[in-house]
Amino acid sequence: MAEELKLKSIKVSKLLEIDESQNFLMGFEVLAGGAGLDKDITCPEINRPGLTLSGFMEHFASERILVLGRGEVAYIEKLIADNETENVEKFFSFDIPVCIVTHGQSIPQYVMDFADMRSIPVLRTKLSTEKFIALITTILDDLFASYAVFHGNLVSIYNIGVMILGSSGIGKSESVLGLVERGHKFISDDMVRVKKLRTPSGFELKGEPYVDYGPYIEIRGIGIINVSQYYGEGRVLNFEHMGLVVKLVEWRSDYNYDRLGMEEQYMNILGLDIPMKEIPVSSGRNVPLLIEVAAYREVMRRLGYNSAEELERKVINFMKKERELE
Amino acid sequence: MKRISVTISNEYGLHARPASLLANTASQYTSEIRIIKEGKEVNAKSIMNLLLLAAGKGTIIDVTAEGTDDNDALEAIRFLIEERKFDEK
Repeated sequence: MAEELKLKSIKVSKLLEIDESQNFLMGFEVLAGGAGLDKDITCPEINRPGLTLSGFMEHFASERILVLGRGEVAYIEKLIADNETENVEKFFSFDIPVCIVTHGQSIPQYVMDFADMRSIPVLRTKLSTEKFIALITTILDDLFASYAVFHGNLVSIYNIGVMILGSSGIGKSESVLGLVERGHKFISDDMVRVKKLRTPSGFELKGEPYVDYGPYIEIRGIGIINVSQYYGEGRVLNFEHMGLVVKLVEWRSDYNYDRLGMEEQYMNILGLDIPMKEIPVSSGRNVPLLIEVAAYREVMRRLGYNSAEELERKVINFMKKERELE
Repeated sequence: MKRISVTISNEYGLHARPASLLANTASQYTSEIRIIKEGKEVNAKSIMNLLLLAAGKGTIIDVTAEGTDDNDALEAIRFLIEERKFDEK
């Protein structure tokens, strides 16, 4: 089983990169403390430091991302106006990874100077506090999720993430190309990262490229191909929820392959069972077609249909009737 | 060509799981193996063929084999159907 890994920290600058990749949805601007952009964020949680600013410093989770909403900023302004800056000074004496100001607010020069002096980055977002917190929580959960890395390919077939595993040279990449040709969507060639994410109903696995250079695929004898250039941007996805693992294996005549499809096989990934099909490869077998059917079978299975069980019921009923006639 | 007769003796007869066991057993031999029930003759290495027979409990079927390992194949099939009863009741 693949090893469970976890990201220990991300740089503050990563938040800016994510913002850029999302078309500036959060619209981050660096207000102060730019020297601290390489600071580590080690905790996927946020904190609103109202209590701290009012002077209660116990249990202050300073390692979290601190969010300054309208209330906090107004309070800081009031403290400065009243010349009671002791708490603000104490606040900035903690080793804070990053402060984020919401609602596109401006903050007093006094605070900016402190942030610059202590190299604590202060970012500003145009989003409201509630929207920002919802968004950043999803982003952080995703970044800090535990994950495993597989040597395999990932395709989205009928909205099911299908990971194709198999030894080198068995034809994984060629199968992916065949699937893209048939209208399915390419996600990753050769290295797949599978993340375990919490959902309201439990956990789910999300598959994505391990390193996202772009939709490149290596085909032996042809070379490297950019899938979006050759087949169109519509045939490329960034991620998909995992639903099936297909293991391509060399055909062996003495091996008993699943011929009925009545018993499900599973692969355990990060503690979750994902349906698995072992597909023997030999000349004359159209592997992309087989993988497509395996994915479609998974769609039907989720809907409660199983062709083998259906046939089984018919055969048994038929035999029963014959016996009653005798 | 060798020929034997066997009786299906498990409760649910030759349904999907037993058919798969029988086809897999037959596939391990190079001989041409056929199953005959009341004049219907099918290939023992094909699950779909075997299911067509709808051979219920008590049915007597003939098994024929032709090839270099015919004796072994017939014995393995007899053992599966009559002694192991497809590992069922």
